[in-house]
Amino acid sequence: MELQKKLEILSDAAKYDVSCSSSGSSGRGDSSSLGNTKAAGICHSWTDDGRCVSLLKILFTNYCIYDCQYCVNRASNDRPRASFTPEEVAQLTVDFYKRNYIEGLFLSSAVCRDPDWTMEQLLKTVQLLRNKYNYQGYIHLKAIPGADFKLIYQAGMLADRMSVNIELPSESSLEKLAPQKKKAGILAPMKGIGAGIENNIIERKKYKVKDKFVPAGQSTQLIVGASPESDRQIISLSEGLYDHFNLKRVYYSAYLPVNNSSLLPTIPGPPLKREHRLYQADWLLRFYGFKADELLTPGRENFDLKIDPKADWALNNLDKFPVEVNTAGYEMLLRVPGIGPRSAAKIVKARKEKRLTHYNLKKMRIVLKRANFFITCDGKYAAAVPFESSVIYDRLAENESQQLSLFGSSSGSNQGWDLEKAK
Amino acid sequence: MKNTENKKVYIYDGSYQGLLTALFRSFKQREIPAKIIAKSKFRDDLFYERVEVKTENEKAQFFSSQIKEHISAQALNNIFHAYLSESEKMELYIFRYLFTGFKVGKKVDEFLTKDYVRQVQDLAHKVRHESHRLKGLVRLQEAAGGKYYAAVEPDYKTLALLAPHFKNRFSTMDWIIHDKKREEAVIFSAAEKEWLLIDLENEFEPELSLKEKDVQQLWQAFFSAVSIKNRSNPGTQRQFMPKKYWKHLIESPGSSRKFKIK
Ligand code: SF4
Repeated sequence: MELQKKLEILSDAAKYDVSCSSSGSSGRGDSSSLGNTKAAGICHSWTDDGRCVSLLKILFTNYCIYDCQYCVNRASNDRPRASFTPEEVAQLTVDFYKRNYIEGLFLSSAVCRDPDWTMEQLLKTVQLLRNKYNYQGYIHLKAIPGADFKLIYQAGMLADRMSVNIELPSESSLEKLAPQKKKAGILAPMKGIGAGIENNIIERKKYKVKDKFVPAGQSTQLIVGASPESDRQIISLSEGLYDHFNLKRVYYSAYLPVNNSSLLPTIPGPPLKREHRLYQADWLLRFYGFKADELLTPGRENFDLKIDPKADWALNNLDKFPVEVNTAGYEMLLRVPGIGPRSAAKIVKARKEKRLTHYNLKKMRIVLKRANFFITCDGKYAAAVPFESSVIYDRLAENESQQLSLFGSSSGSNQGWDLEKAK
Repeated sequence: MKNTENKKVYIYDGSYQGLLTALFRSFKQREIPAKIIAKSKFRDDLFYERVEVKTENEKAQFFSSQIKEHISAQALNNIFHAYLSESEKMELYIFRYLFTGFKVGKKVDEFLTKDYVRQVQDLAHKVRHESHRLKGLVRLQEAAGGKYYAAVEPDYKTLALLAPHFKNRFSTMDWIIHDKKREEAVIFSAAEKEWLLIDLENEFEPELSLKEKDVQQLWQAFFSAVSIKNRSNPGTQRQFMPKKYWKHLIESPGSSRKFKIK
């Protein structure tokens, strides 16, 4: 098959993958090699649907021996198939990179023949790039579930970022929708990569080892809305992944109905609003010191689609508010809706000089639109509404654009992933 | 500073070094010129006394270090980037900005009520913004002989800001980025590891390598294939990638609508 045809098929097949990030610099590259990785993301083009093109995002092959229900490339689906060779991918990457079309390569793959064979192809590709072409641009590589960890490890010594997609928020859903994958084991390689990253950091510090293992970190992706798990289960899972597997990012992908399968829910479109709330909650876990079990509790299984998770938490914990900005600790300030790390830091610094009033906050360019409902300045409460949960809720919801909830609350009887069991 | 009787116009050669030399002269002689203007833009004017300032690199260098020391590195950056905007009256804004800067030091950038401070900052910001954009949008083509060539027509004189970025990225390649509008180019040699600004006429176009068209076709194919159909959003696309840059892109925005895998 002609190369262009392959490229069309295998980029089309990869485009729904959401983790477009070329974030995270690994500081590769010197004056004797081609390329470098840049900390600030650079977009090289914008697609007709308005998304940034930064990486050559392709599948190595879309021939698949598996039959995951939610996937366009499943074995039982009738569609055009193609496979690259490692040399083709390496050459293509270098050709595109040298012309400044891309920041780097994002190489994923379906499982062709068997997991080891597929992983070997990916490994060969990065070996060619790094060794033959002396290419030091960015590489994000998928680790194939079920492949020998030795192969994954070798690839990790050459890639900047790796990811194993956890795909679904619970083992039982995975069993139902992607039965072959369960056996292959997803958590084991994730855990292995996580441990590899940690060891490598220690070795580099202690023994001045130069070689880097997955220096831009590990990420994963899970599909939201193809299975019945609640938001509570999803963010608990994410928290576990951040805490135990050293993950840099969890990506959430609203399920896009692609197949007719009796095992899948029929929905009018991807639950984008829900996906957005999960990203917000994820942010709170990573940067705001929230725990998953604070954000949602048994009985409160899903995020409110009308207000953001932080405001939702505040309204459910109204006894902790209003917060006096002149005395509250930094951690508590950070929990006020509308106040982020920068504003909280500014407040802590400025109040050393003087007692702060609402006027001072405004002067400091702290946006009070949302925060006002939850703070006092020198004992004064300045929101023009009574301090009542339902009133504040309405005001906050008004601020947010309204969108119909695509999901009712789900049963939530699933067990989720047992992270401890992964070996 | 005293206001001299017959108003003076400083004419410099249009280079940054030239502008710095002119500014240096003004501060040194304690003389406020009515205008500072590039030679190419100057039209004879009977009311002013013409002073042609000869560019002197040493003076320019010295003046730069004075700005850095007595105002800030940030201020030096700002005036360089504002200069690159080539906008009308840019010289005078810079003059006033420095005038205040030498009095108040690095705080000058907080004087946002002053028109000229805002002007310098805004112009600098616009230039930086365009240069960041171009870091993504520059499209190199392989010329016969293995050198790489890109044409650009930016709003601002951004080559000097692009050069260090592409030097780091493509340090093993020989390349040229050609500003067709200004008829100048930055040229980089992998052997020397150095870049240079040169004059290059608008018409210059290198002969392309044999495989170049094939690679370009692959990129066009990729670009069309990655768009998600039914979610066409030309508004957002144009917001980030304004039409004025399309001419030198290899891909063609909008092409995915015709694309289908058979
Ligand atoms: S393994 Fe499953 S998700 Fe991956 S390509 Fe094959 S069918 Fe799709």
